[in-house]
Amino acid sequence: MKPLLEVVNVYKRFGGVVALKGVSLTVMPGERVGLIGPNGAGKTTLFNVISGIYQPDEGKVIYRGVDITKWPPHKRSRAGIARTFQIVRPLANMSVLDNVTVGALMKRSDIEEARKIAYEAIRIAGLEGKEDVLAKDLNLVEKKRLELARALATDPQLLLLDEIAAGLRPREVDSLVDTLLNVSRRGITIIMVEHVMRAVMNFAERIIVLHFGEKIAEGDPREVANNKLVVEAYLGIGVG
Amino acid sequence: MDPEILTSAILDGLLIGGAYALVAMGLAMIWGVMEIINFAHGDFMMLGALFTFFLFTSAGLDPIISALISFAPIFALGVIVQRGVINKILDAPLLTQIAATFAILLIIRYGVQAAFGPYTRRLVSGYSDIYINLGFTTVPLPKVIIFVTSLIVLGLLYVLLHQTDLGIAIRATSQDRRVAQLMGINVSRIYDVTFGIGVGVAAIGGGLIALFYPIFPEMGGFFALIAFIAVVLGGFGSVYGAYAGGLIIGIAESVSALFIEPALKDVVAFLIFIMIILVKPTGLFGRGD
Amino acid sequence: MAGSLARINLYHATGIATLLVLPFLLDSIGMAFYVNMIFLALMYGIAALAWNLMMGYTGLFSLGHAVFFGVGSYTVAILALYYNVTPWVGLILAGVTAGLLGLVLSPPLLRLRSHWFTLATIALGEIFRLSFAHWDYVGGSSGLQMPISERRLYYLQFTGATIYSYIALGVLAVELIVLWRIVNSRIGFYLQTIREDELVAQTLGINTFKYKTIALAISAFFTGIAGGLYTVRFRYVDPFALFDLITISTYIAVAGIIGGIYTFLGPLIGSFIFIPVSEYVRANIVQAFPRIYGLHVTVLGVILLVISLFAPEGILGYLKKRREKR
Repeated sequence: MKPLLEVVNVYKRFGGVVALKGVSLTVMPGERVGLIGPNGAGKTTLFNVISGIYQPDEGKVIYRGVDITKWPPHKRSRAGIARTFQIVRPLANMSVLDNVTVGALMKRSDIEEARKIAYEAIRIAGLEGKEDVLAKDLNLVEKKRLELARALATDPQLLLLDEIAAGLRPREVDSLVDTLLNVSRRGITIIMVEHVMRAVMNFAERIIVLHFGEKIAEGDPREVANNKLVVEAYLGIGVG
Repeated sequence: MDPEILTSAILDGLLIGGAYALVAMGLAMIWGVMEIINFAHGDFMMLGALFTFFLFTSAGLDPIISALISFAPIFALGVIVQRGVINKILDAPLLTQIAATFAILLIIRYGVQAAFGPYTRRLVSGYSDIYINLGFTTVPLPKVIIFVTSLIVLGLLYVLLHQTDLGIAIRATSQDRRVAQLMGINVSRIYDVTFGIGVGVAAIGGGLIALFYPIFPEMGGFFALIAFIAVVLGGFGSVYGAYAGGLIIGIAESVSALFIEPALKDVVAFLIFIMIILVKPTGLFGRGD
Repeated sequence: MAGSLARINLYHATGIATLLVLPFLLDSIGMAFYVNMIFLALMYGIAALAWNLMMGYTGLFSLGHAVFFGVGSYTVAILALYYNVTPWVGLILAGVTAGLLGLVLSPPLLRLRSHWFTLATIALGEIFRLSFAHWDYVGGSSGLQMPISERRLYYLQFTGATIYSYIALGVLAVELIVLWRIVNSRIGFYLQTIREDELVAQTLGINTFKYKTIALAISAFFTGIAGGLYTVRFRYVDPFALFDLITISTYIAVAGIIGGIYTFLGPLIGSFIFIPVSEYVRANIVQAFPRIYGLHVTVLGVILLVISLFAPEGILGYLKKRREKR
C-alpha cells in the first residue's frame, strides 16, 4: 500500500524561531494518528504546513504521491485534505446548516444536493437538531462538532483535527472519541493534534511526539507513553 | 539639477515633515494602544487649526501659543468622543468601527462647514514673512517653528511613555488589554487619555500648519492621508516610526515637486499611498503582525 | 437563506405595486419634487444593493463606489456625445465598462483587508476625481454637457423624472433577480464564508480571490448602470459631482448600512429612507439658509453614528432580529 501523506524533512522558521526542524512522517490510508507534544512543539505549525496555510522553508509535502508543497490551501482541500482549528472558527453569522452546506458545496454546485450531504455530516458529527441555530450561539462542544461536520461535508480523505478535545469535560471527550472512531470506520484517515491524553490514548493507533520542532518518538500509544524522552519532554516544562 | 535647489528642497521638506509627523504620531498612538483606525484624525487636526485661527484673530493671542493651547480643548473633545463613541465600539465588528469613526469625520468636517461657512481662511501673522538665512538658502520661520515643536513633542511623548506611571500603564495596555486590566489598570481611562493626547497632538500640528497653510473645513482629508502613509511607513502603532515616516514624506513630497507637474501632485500622492499599503503592509520599520 | 423568487409575500407585493404607481400618481398631481426624490432613491438603491454584494455578503467595505458610478456616468455621456450611441445601449455599456474596471482593479485592491481596503477605495475615488478633472477628452474640470436633442426617445430625453423613474424601476427589477439568484447560489454561500472567515473559506476549497473578484465585478457592473441613470436624468457629468466621496460613495454606503447590510433588500429600503431625508434637508433647510451649507452632510454623519452605535444591523436587520425573538 502506498502512503497517503508524506512529510519530508520540513523546516519552518518565524524570524529567529525555528518552529519545525526537519520533521518527517508518513501516514498510511485509513490510519488514526495522534500528534502530541508540549506547547510550542510545532504541532499546529505542522498542520498549517500540511493544509497549506504556511509554506515550509525547506522540505516537501507529498499527498497521494503528488508533491503539493506549493499548492494553495483551497486546492489542497479540493484534493481531500480537511481540517479543524484549535481555536474554533465557526462562520458566526451563518446557521449550522449553512456552515456545513458550504463544505458540501466544494464538490457539487446544487444547493439542495449539498444540503442533503450537510444534514448527513451534521448527523455523523452529532449535531442533529441544531441545524437552524446561528453558529455563534452554539456552546463550545457544539462548535467543535460543527468544525468536524463542516470538514466532513467536504468529503475528505485526510482529516486534520487540531485539539478538538481541548476544553471539554471527560464525558464529552469520550463521546467525541466515539464519533471520531465512527468517522474513521468510514475510511477517512485522521491525524489528531491533542493535549487531552484521554482522547489520544483512546483514539490513536499510532502516536508521533514533537518537541521543540523535532520528532522525538513514534509508535504504539502505550509504548510512547512510557518512552523516557517523552516523559522528560513533558515533565521538563511541567505539563503532565 | 542644481544641488542647491535640491538641498533646499530637502530642507524645506524636512521642516514641513515636522507638521506631518505631529499628525501622524497621534494617529499611531491611537492605533497602537487602542487598535482603532481613527478616520476622523485629520479633522481633529483641522479643529486645531481653526481654534488657533480664532484665538489669534479674536483674542489677539500669539499664533504659536494659540496652537499649543489648542491641545487642551481638542484633548477634552477627544476624551468626550472616546467616552461617547469609541469606547462603545472597541469590540464591535470592523465595519462598525469604520462607520462610526467615519461618522465622526462627517460630523466634525461638515459641522464646522455649517457653523463657520465653507470659506478658506488665512492666518496672517508677524511670523509669516520672516525668513532665516542659512547662507546657501533661506527658510521661512514658521516652518522652523513647526519642526522644532515637533521635536519637542516627540521628546515629551517619549518621556511620558517611558518615564511616567501613566506611560507605563499606556504601554502595558497596548501590549495586552486584558492583562493590563488584571494588573489593576483602568483601561477605559487609559483609552480616554490616549485618544485625547492623540488628537490633541494632531491639533497642535494643525495650529502650526495654519501659520502658512490655508484653513478650510475639508483640509483634514489630505493630512489624514499623509498621516496614514506615515503610520504605514513607520510600522503600525509605533509613535517614533510615525515621526520618521512624517519626515520622510515631507522630504519625498518636496523633492518630487521638482519633477512632477503640480496639478498631478495629489494624484501621485494617492497612488503612492495605495502602492505603499500594497507593498509593505507591515511598515518600513514594522513591528510585524 | 433558502428560498426562491416564487416566495413573494404580501409586503413585497405591496412594495412593488406602490413603486409602480407612485411616480405616475405624484406626477399627475404635480408633485415633481417628490417624483425626483423617488428617482434618486431608486438610483442610489440600485447602487447600494450592488455595494452590499461586497459589504454585506463578502465583507469588503468600499467607500469608493463613486469610481464605478462615475465611470458608468461618463460612459453614457461619452458614447452619446462622441459616437451618437443611444443611452439605451449606453446604460448597458456603462455597466460593462464599470465591471471591467472592477476586474482590472481586483488584483491590487483585493490583496488588502479590512480598513486598508476601505482606505484604498477612498484614495481610488480621489485619484479618479483628480485625473478626470485634468483629462481633456472627458471635458476636464468643467465636465460634459449633453445637448438637448430632437430625437427624444433615442437620446432618452424627457421632461421631469417620471419616465426616468420607470426606467430605473426596470433596471432595479433586473438587478434584484440577478442578485437574488447569485446570493442563493453556491457563489452566495462562498461570499458569506469569505466574509465570516477567509482562512476557513480557503480550507473549504474556496478560491477566495476568484470569488471576491466576482463580487467586485458584479457590484461594479450595477453601480455603473446606476451612474448611467444619473447621466440620462441630469444630462450633465462633471468629476466633482460624480467622483465625490460624500454624495456618491458615502451616500451609497450609508443607504446600505441604514437599511441593514445582512439583509437582501436592506440597502434598497435604506435608500428610500435616507435619500428623502437628505433631499428634504438639502432642499428646504440648506437652500433657505445657505450660510449653513454642509448641514445635510452633518445630519448624514449623525444618522450614521446613531445607527453604528445603537442598531449596527440596520433597520431591516433590527426588525428581523425582533421578529425572531418573538
